[in-house]
Amino acid sequence: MEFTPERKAKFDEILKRYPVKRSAILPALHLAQEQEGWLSKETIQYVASLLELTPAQVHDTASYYVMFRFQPFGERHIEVCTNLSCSLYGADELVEHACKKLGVQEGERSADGKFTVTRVECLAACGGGAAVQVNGEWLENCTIADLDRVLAGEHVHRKFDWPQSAGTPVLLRNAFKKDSTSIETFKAGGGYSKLGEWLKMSPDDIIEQVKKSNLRGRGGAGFPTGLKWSFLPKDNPKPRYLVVNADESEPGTYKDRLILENDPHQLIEACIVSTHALRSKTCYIYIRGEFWEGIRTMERAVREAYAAGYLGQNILGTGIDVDVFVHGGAGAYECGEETALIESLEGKRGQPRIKPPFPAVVGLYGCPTIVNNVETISCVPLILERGPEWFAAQGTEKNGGPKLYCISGHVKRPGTYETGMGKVTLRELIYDEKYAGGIRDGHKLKAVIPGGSSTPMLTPDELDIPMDFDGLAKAGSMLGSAGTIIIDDSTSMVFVARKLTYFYKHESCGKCTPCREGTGWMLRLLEKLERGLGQMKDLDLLWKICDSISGKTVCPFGDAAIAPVQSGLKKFRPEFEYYVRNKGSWTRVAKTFEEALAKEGQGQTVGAS
Amino acid sequence: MPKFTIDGKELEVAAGTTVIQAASAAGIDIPHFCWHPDLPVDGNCRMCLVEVEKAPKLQIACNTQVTEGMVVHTSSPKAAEAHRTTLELLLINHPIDCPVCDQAGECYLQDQYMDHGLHDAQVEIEHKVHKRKVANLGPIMLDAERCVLCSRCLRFEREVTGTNLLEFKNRGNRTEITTFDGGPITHEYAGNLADVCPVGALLSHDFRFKMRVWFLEQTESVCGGCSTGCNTWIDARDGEVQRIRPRRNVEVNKSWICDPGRMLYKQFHVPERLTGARAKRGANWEGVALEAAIDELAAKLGEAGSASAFVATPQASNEDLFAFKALAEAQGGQLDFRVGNPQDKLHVRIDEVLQRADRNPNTQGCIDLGMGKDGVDAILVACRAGAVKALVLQGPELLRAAEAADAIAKVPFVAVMATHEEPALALAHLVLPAALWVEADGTYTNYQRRVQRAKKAVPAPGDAKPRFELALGLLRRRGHALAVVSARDLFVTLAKSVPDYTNLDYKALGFGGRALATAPERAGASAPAGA
Ligand SMILES: Cc1cc2nc3c(=O)[nH]c(=O)nc-3n(C[C@H](O)[C@H](O)[C@H](O)COP(=O)(O)O)c2cc1C
Ligand code: SF4
Ligand code: SF4
Ligand code: SF4
Ligand code: FES
Ligand code: FES
Repeated sequence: MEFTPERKAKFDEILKRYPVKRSAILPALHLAQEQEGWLSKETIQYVASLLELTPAQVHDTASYYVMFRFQPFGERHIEVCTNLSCSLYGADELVEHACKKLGVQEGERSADGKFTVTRVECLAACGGGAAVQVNGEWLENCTIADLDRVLAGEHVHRKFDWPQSAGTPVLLRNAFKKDSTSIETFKAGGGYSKLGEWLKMSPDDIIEQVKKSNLRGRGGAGFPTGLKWSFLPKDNPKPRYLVVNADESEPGTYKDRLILENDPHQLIEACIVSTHALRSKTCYIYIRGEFWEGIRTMERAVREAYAAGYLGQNILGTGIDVDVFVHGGAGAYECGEETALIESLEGKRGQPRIKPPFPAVVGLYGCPTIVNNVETISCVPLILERGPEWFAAQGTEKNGGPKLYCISGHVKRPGTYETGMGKVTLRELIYDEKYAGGIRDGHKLKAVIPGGSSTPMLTPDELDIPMDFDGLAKAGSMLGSAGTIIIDDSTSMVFVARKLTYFYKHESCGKCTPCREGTGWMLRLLEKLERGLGQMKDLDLLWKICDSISGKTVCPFGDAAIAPVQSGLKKFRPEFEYYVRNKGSWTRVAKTFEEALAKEGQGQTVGAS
Repeated sequence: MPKFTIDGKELEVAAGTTVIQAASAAGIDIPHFCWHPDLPVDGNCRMCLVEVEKAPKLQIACNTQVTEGMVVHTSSPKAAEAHRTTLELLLINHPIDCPVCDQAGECYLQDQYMDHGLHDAQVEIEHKVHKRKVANLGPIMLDAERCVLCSRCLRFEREVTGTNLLEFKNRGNRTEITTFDGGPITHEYAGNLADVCPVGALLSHDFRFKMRVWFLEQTESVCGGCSTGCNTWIDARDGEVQRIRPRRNVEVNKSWICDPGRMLYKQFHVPERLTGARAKRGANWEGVALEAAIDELAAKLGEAGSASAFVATPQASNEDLFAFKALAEAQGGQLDFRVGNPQDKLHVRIDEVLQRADRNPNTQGCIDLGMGKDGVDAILVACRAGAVKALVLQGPELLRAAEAADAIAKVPFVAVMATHEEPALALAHLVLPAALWVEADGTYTNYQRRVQRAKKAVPAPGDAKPRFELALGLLRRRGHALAVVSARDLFVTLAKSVPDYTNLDYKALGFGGRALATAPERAGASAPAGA
């Protein structure tokens, strides 16, 4: 096997983006898979020879990522997100329907060679669930009827119709404009007009302003951005890197995608000034591989920015050089963890590194590196343009700036809404007409996952808290990546725990014992419960497994992975116990858990019926 | 030099020392799977969690550096509970088949399992993820099901040999250790993979199913396979060597040895071993008692006087060399060792890991003891001129050299000390059976000029004797007895006369050896192996 001349040329061009050949492994494998349809032994050997690696090194890396296939697939690959939000919109039924219709198992090629259907994890389209991709093209809000058309050979594509935010959004000021991705549109809105000025500012001044702005990382941990930037060692002669984390994969979170797909130049401009602020010359934007459109859009915008002289050598005559490279991942939630992301960018399995050392000291290629979220970086030009005081005033104390809130699940108006950080309470976000507009008709709210699947669940009486890092921490949860998932009374909490535990088991990188083994064990116990084989002692065992993982893992994934089970057991234990007593789910006998309990009181149980 | 407290003991350690390093130096055992002293820290197994006072959560001992005033508890209730639960999690996917596993007795998992009394573990066997059964990887066997995914083997392949033949396939709890397409391990360091594997997933083909390890007796030794002089353990049972393992020496071989060195034992107990002396009577060999053979050689030396020549072997220990040299000097005969010029290859690497082109353990000892005196060529010239009446060979090297054959043929009496039968011995008149390096106490000086001690691990077969004993017997008969009985005495004696060896004795050497100053022009060439 060999690349076609065009692909070889593309590969050679890609190779130039990295100081280390191995970094080109994921792009090279994507090119190879695009050409051959899948990765055969020969293909692995060919890629290994191009990168001067052993085939074992290439296969070790390739087999880590779910987007690579090691057997032939159908001409059209239908990928259905069956993570929590999408499953609340009927995603599991979509998969079953498609498989039945094709007469195949999941992952199996249809007899005519036309289709392969697989389940995938959250695609960052949660509000537009059920989310489907067909050969990488979006088919959001997908219904069974849509799927039938696809299976009939039609090319059906649809993007979620994101509702617009009330007031005058700033992060989303361009996102819904016509031709929002073009450089002209961006410039017409004032974009790039102050870039020259900012590049003349001293890096330390910029960092000082970012510190003053109270900007905290939007990737999940809420770490003060200016402070993080100041951790770069002053006297290290090595190059420095800015890496933008566009791996957005936390279930419930779909905000960065909006910037990548709808307003790429906002991010590029932000990367340019931030790279300068870090005294760096190189910025990589690591975009999750499933964002085919986001990657295409960003790559086009980067080319436009180079052509316009905003990127490259001596930008706008300032003497400042900045390169921005787009790097696509290949399907692994864990690559959002910053050190795993760095490993992945170096062309390895996306597994985290032990800390210390921290990336600010020893990061990408062993050099000082700052990793920031897309939304975080996008805030930097706003700080410089409107001043740190203005920025801080948009939010609450110690929580500066505008904020994108994602909401999905059983609400009337799922969407990604912008408002000031903490200027909305969780209750308002769910019920206010400006935001999600309340729970779907005929149902009652049962549980809220406030900040993405990794954040402990809250109950309906815990919602009067400001949606900022400190507000949620006080409530015993986390703002995380602000991916709020709403669960109403039709849904079993054991099902919720199982869905999310499946996700964590599937995405555990496998590096450390507690998470690798513990997530699998928890899933087996939850499946046992659902099959009606659970015992009361299994509930205690689940709790103990959470303890065996908590605080003992290499990276925060472990603590994230126990959140659904731990908070589920803490707040919804009666539902788990019902499963044990009645050998299975209450959803088989009633529309709500209360109803099921009432029936049980009258002797009507699954076991008895 | 931070001071800290660990399990109530106060210790002072060098800055940068990790808790697990400090603990292991102090004899405190912290459970661990992934940490290995000669591999980069990976911190994946989470077995080594310890409680550090004032830290919000447990810390891994393998990646936590000691700081001033730190207080560490390795078996507080919290730490012990973490060890128990982590082990329990590991066991979920690990077959508990200790009774049939070859690693039994050398398995950290088994040890830990016993230590932590996990007999009531909440593990449900039917839930185990099933992986492929044992695969043949050439020099080693792989049982992926037993793997605890500690990545030691991968790190070995990456950092030590640079071969990268092993890989992890898939991720999460479906991760599996394998090679690309099941291909074999093709480098000469495969045995170390079985050594680094903390469980029975990578097993030496050679040792598989041979014997339970608790029957073995282990003895400190030094490899006789090349001038690197890797430190080894000789594992024997009932006087027979069963295997050779690396013995850690950071200055020489770290924790590694090469496969050829590991396999040397296969030549120890073979039918070709010489177990008795023999003498040529006319065209035929006749077996003779060892003492009689030594008498005969002594008599020949008496007749020859200074018309004798001596060729030492770089296979011999310093003690052997010293006694041999004393004999040559007593005779006033010519002396050398440089058959095939091993000294030119002393520092030549044949790979980037350990092996060197000089396949002798003691060429440097020959140099240091002044065995290179008259030149092999000069000896051959004298032989051809009929000026050598008795030629004593400490090893058979010269007999194998085609260009020496005509010279040797001119010598009326040639005696050779040898360990194995070989055709070249036909050129000699007297053959004395010699012990192998594992069969005698002795010291060897490696390419770095490090003097290292090997201990007798097994008895020599039949009449075979250490070369120094043969030489001492000859000296005694020739009226030049040395006042020594053991190799230890000989070393003390030689240390008095060999430059730089002054003040050395077995105690000073220990089992890690002692580095001597190297000639300045060598300084660059003597970096530790594997560095
Ligand atoms: C399992 C896991 C997944 C993560 N995924 C993402 C992600 O998709 N995007 C992101 O920006 N940060 C993610 N993070 C957080 C990053 O590690 C890191 O904290 C963040 O990118 C830093 O940027 P910030 O300071 O701008 O938030 C993840 C963390 C963990 C532990
Ligand atoms: S907690 Fe451990 S296994 Fe889980 S993702 Fe992090 S490093 Fe991997
Ligand atoms: S085979 Fe052995 S050394 Fe390699 S990862 Fe598995 S347990 Fe560790
Ligand atoms: S490198 Fe040389 S000394 Fe070391 S084990 Fe191999 S043969 Fe023996
Ligand atoms: S896209 Fe399906 S849950 Fe997020
Ligand atoms: S020995 Fe420390 S984590 Fe494995």
